[in-house]
Amino acid sequence: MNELLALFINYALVKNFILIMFLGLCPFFGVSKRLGDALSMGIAVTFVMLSSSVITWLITHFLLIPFKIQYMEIVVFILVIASFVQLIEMIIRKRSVSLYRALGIYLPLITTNCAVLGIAEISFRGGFSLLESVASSLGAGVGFILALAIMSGMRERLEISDVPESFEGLPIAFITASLLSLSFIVFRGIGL
Amino acid sequence: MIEIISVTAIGLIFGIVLSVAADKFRVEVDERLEKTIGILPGANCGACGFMGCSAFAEALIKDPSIANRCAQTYMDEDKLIELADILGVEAGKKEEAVVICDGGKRCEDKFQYYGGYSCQLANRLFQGNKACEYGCLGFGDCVEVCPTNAIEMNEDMLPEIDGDRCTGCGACADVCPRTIIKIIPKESLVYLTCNNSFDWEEPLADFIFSIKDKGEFSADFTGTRIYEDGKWKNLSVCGRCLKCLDACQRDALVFEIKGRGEYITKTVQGEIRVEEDMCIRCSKCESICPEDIIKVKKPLDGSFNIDQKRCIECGNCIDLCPSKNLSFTEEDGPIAFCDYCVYCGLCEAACPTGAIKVEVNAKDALDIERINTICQKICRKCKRCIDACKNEAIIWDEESNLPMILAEKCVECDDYACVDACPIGIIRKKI
Repeated sequence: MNELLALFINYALVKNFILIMFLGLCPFFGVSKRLGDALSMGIAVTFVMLSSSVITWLITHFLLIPFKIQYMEIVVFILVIASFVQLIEMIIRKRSVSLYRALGIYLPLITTNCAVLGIAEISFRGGFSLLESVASSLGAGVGFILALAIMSGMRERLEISDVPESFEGLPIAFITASLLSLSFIVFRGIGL
Repeated sequence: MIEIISVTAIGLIFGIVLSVAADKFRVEVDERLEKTIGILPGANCGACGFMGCSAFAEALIKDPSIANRCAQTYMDEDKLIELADILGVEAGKKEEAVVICDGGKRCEDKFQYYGGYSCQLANRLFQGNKACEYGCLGFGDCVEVCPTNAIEMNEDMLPEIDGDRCTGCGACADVCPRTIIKIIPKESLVYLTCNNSFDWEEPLADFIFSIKDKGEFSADFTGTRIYEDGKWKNLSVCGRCLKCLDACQRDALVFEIKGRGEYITKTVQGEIRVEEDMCIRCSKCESICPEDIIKVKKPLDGSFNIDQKRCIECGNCIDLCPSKNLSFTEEDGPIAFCDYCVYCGLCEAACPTGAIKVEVNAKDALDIERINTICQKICRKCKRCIDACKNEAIIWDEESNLPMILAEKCVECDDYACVDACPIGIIRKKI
């Protein structure tokens, strides 16, 4: 149990996907203008991460490894993630129109999110068990939400602050992100 | 070989699952929606205020009149026609935004503001840093939000809207905390550039409050009754001629019958009473009283100057003067004063050309807030535009206390009489 918790914290803070490992940067800048949007995007990504990591684990352990075709991992993972996002989109659309509206364009965008592929790759390379890959993907998802929420909160403030003209918009967001990233490096001291 | 088979198999399984799911989870979609999405640019830029083009298309089907929110579609005539075909009605109204404030730099600052550079923020701090609580704050929130870059700040610190580029989407009107951006039909000819709905009663009430303890009105209307030679004699000097009631412009003097019944008899006399809240101590009653029993001490002392050449005979000061102290003359010039001035300064504030100057000598005089020191371009409520319009397109809106231009009647005008009639030039032609 402790190991699972350690994995969770490891991927949420110490190896934060966005701020330390620099994965999934496009939604980090694209969807971090408003806190509400950022949170729904984060929740959608977490959901996809969690469910796709379970399915990819099943596929790797019951298909790729028995047939010794591990080198096909990326093709298979992309296939899984893409179809999974499609499936989720259909289900959400049918079951809850309001949630579908709230997620909007960000839902199909998750397909191309490298953080989702990243966690599948990590759990595959690390030889995680099913529970471990669930814990790590949950941690990665929470870390993703955390980074997006912090960033969007700061960008909401940036909107109204007096920024030099040449830094307005994305440039100052990049600088902010780098400072935020620096502060997350401190978590390495936890040493899990 | 095995890899090809397995990946194909996975793909096939997912394909089947997805197609089954697509069938099972199918949502009935309005077929117009697909077509509408096809017409929209598909860039998901979000300038319309909706989350992407598909959300906008959905809203568009419900309410076709918001088509102008998408500038790309709205500027393209062919696309508009296509859209009209699909939605069955003419999509988009031809409208544009106008700024209904002409203050900008002309409007005084109430205080120095050092907060975030945004109208929304500035407006939350003591209702903005402008002396006019209706005026443009000038931080340009509307400039930021305009999807077609039609708005620019001019040198007067007022937003200037380029009518050709404006699609009338209303994004600027939504963001403006002062609600001084109005969406009007493109074919409208003129618009009013002031939103200040002040009422002259307010500065006058302030003035009356400020002079309450100064000045004095004293009169003994009742007198005394004494017993002399076996008879009651009334020593009251007041003959109840009631000339003072006629003279009073503020209805501050009232005639009351006290005692038994409502009739005046030998023993029951009516009494004159002054309502302190209404009296402005103009001393008009004093000058008219035949028995000299009214004594009025004026609250303030001062002087007034009038530049007769600048008078345009609008009659604003005459209408507003609380003691009806001003009148038109034929001899010396258009305007004449009498001796009943209380130096309230309303005439100076109301004068559109600044022809009248009122000065108060008393040091402790509480100056009333004069409208013309806030902003030269505030509507003075003279209603000349209403009289000037031949088409009866301008009416007085009691709620906003401003003239209202009726768009449907303001068409085909060749003389623009209202523009010329407005003494401070706040009715503007649309270019």
